Amino acid sequence: MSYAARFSLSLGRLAAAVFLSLVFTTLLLLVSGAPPLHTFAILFAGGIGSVAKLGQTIAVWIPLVLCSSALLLTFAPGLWNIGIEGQIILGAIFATGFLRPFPAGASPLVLAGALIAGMIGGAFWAYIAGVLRTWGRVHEIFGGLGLNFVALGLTLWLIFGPWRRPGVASMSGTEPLHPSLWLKGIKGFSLSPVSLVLALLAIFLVIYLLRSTRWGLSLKAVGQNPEAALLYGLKPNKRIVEAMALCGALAGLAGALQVVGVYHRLLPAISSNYGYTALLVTMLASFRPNLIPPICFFFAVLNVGSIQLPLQLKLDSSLSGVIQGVLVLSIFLVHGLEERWQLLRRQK
Amino acid sequence: MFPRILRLGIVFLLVLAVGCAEKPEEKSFIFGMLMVGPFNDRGWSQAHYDAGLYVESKLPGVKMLYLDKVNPADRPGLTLPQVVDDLVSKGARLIIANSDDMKDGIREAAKQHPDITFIHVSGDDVLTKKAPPNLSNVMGRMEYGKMMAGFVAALTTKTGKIGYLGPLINEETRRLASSSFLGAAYAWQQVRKRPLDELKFKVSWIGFWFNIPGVTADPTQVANRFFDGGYDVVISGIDTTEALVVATQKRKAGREVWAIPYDYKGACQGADEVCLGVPYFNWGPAYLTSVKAVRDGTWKQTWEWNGPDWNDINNEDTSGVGFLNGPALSTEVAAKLDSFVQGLATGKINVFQGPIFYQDGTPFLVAGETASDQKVWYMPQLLKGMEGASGPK
Amino acid sequence: MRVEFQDIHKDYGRVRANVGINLVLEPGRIYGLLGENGAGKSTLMRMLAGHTQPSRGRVLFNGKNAEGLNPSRALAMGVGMLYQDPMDFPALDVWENFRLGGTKRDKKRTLSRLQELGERFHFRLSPQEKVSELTVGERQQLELLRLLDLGVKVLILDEPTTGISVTQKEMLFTTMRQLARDKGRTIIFVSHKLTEVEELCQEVIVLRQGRLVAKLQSPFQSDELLKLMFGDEHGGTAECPERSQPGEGEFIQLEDVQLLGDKYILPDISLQIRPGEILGLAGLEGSGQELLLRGLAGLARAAKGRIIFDGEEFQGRPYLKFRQAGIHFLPAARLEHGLFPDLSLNEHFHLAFPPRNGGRDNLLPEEGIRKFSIQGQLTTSARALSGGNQQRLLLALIPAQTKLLLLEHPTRGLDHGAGQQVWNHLLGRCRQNTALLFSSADLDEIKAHSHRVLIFYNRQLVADLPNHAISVEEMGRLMAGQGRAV
Repeated sequence: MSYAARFSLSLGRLAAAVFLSLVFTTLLLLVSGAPPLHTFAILFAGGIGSVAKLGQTIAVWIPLVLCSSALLLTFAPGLWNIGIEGQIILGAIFATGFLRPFPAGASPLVLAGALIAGMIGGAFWAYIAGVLRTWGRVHEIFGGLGLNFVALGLTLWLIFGPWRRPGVASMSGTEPLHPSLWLKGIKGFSLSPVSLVLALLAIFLVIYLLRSTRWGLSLKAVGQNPEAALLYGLKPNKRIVEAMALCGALAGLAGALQVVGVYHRLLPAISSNYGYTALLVTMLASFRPNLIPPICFFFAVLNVGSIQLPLQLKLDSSLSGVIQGVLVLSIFLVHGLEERWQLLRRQK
Repeated sequence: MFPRILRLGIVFLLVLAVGCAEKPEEKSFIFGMLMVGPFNDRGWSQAHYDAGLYVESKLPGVKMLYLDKVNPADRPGLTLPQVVDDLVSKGARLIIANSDDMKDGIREAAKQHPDITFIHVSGDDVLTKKAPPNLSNVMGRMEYGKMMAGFVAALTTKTGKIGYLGPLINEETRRLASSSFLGAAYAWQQVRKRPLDELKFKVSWIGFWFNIPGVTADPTQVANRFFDGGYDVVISGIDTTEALVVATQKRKAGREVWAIPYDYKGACQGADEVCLGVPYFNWGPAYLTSVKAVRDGTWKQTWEWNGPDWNDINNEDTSGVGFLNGPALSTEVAAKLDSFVQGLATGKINVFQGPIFYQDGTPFLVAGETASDQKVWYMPQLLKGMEGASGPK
Repeated sequence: MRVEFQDIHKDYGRVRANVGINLVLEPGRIYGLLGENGAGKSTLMRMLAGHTQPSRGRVLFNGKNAEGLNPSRALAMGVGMLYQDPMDFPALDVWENFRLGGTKRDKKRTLSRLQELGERFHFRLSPQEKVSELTVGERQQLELLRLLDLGVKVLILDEPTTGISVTQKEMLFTTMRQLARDKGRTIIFVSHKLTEVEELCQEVIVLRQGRLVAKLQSPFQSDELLKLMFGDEHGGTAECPERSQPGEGEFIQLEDVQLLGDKYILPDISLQIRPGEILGLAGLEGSGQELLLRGLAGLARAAKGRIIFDGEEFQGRPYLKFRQAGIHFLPAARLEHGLFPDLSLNEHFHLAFPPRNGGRDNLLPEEGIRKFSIQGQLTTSARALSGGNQQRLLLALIPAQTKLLLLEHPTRGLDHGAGQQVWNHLLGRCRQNTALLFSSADLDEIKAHSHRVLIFYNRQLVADLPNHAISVEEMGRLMAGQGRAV
């Protein structure tokens, strides 16, 4: 099948899945007594209805794109890097740690250092999962889940312990950073151009690595057949650890950006579950890089727009989560139906 | 099939763009309310929500926009300045943020929107001069409510052991736990005439205002531990009602226990067997004043610490805090509470009177000294006689 | 049970797997089903066992139409299939496997039933052993007992003699005869080994290109059967290109090497290999030949001894060093171990021949596809290739400077013509002084192509002989652990 044909097939599948999940969500809304069209309208207007909202949406889009494109690197060698959540958190921890010696502010160079520290933190956490997988034979799902818990525990310990606010014992977060260490947005636009550029760079980097380098091809080969990869001298274990570490670095960058660009401090929910959401995005995109930015955008719109549901309709905002989940289920369903249909056709 | 879906999608988006441009309603006054917990939590947030409804009912044409569960765990990725932007774009002129946790976010938002008025509940930015000119602080003098809670707890307990289910540790929560203790100590010594060292008063902190699974300690477990450890009255200091729920369960299992919820006037409902009463906030009057002032252009920055209306602490139009007796409160104790409240009202009783020592033995108030507002507000430690952490370890 | 195929057609897209097959199988007889790869044997049997449905025509059991057959219904009607790789659960005990899918029994009853059946056929299975500990032959026996316990009346055996010992084969054949004679069961023996079919079967059915070309009664003429299987163009016995003469000097030496495998240890191997020499490795599966190949490839660790290539010691070095020294290993399962199913031919060439390693004398993808007549394009995925094309792709991916080639079952699953092409290429390489070690379950293949024969039994190298010094029959005996009269 040609590249264009495969691409439009994934796109068609995606469209079918979107349609299916819209139908399902509409039913759900009808059951809960909300007017479906109006609800959708409010949801989407909440994400793209104004320039400011668009800014917010892009601010969510950035970590999602960073994490989703990072996951492409680990999906290529067939890894389920569910530990990406923890890698985001470690990025946030490292960035916060890097900035703690500067309570009175510092130069933008320090800020850049914090981002690099975040990348190192994420890469370090992913490296552990990778080594557990290749040396310890611990499946990356279990290793990753375990490390996620450890990362959350570490955050809680830091917030409640060594990094607590003076005189306060609260889970709410650390002391806010000095404003000179905030990655600031353009005026009236809660979005930093630096983050945006970094996210775009990340996805182009990933596309370049996977499409145009032998390293990327090796990753795919490892994913296809680790044993053959070994025979071809592709060093599958080394590739796995490298892919994990690079993925972790990007996730860590997302975490660092959450700290310096969004919350300006470390808090327990710093990852905002973007890692898990990115896993959904990547699956929904059928691991195709060019579908990642639009799907991330769609998810970001849902995330940001969902605030409007309780604000305007007194509906629970978890509806947007339901839509995201149903979408992913739908894409699997569409995939499954397609296979069934082909099987039927072949048997006839 | 695909192109048709695409076309439908485009039409859909166009409809959105045209139909949903946000137009704030004209001529009415809109204020925004940001609540840290669910609006129907039967606790802290619901007290605010009800106050908002109270303002709406008193001032025709005034409308409340609210968003609840404004915290990073419930709404990942959401920041306070974002929500404020949203409320402002929907026409809100006054924005009330109801959590200690929103301190930094609301200050940031207030700086970004100098033409909008902000109220941060429970904060002290005005005192510390960190607040921009469009930000006020409001708090209720819950010390009194907590003293009453401590008072009835000490008169009711049979084991002489009172548990205090604390949220996170900061000045406010130390202040409230200590007030409960002082109320209890007064009742124990002056009414029951027993030596203070026979009263056990223990504080257990969960780490946040309400339960966040996996992050905070589980308040249900903490309450259970209290009751199982012989503490027969638990005073809740958290936003939600776990203490009541657990106490009711223990009652059903035949145990003689009680609980005192917090924050919300209606909190006792459905827990008749165990609820001794509730110290609650009545934000309505303060909000009404603020909304009027902003609407009429007479608003000024203040740091308000509103006490009860001593003529009737349960008057919903005048009293900032109150204590509503619960169904499980004996008439005998209720009578004694009345005279205690009388004593407080007339100033005959002041439990913040020396000698009182901090937990580490250093003096808080020397003999005869009474505490200034400042000293009560910035409580650096728990008091001597209380068990539990004064601060982060 | 009497099985009747009536005008069976089966199409997979444009491929016609079965064309108008009419056939009656009577109870109490043993049928041989012959045909080269892709002749339609498996399709026909899969239909009988309910794994697929005919596109046209019907299958009758005792005159009754068996419509909408699926595997469980087929089993319920008495059709059981013994697969080449038995469908069992390695993690379970023997008795637990035996109980699976059968009548509900407690452990005690299961054990006694298993013992009773085992005694009847002289199978010695210890019920408490894990299935993973069993040999292929024993697993077959277990599966056979399970099927018999389920009361099958039609028994299909798919290439059952691959990988089992001579004794086990004899036992299997005795059992088959016993079942057909005493119990009136219909037995279908799918094989491509003429000798076995001749030995066991009373009737033989030959398929070619999806059609039934003959149904013959015993005794059979080998030549005639071959002609039926392969058509007239096939000249009878397998003809092989001339063997080259090995070069001089011993470029590979193994001195008292002990190899550590995942499952076992292969001790004390001493061996010399000359450039261009071809060594055939014979042995039942798991007898040690796999480990020797992997040890020479650097994939299994040498715990003791020395491995010398071109005067350099290699023991203990990582796989990549072996590879760089010009040693190349091709595993038995092509798609599972040797290729990347969803990567394209182009990508395979890129992976196999890194540009920076100065591999300019290696093939460009286009050349490789042409030279090895691979039926596919640069963008075709490996999965989409047929078995023969996959094997040719693997051959094309062997670096030019390879000095030692290690192959597992180089022609397994290939039909006669494709196998011949593989050997043409391999022998060509040997003429250019590449040494070659290959294992095969087909002793004729070993006899036809090797200079020397290594025979493994019980995880030991038991014989290292020049080809002319040993016959196929003797190989068989040595593999089975029977001594050799010197």
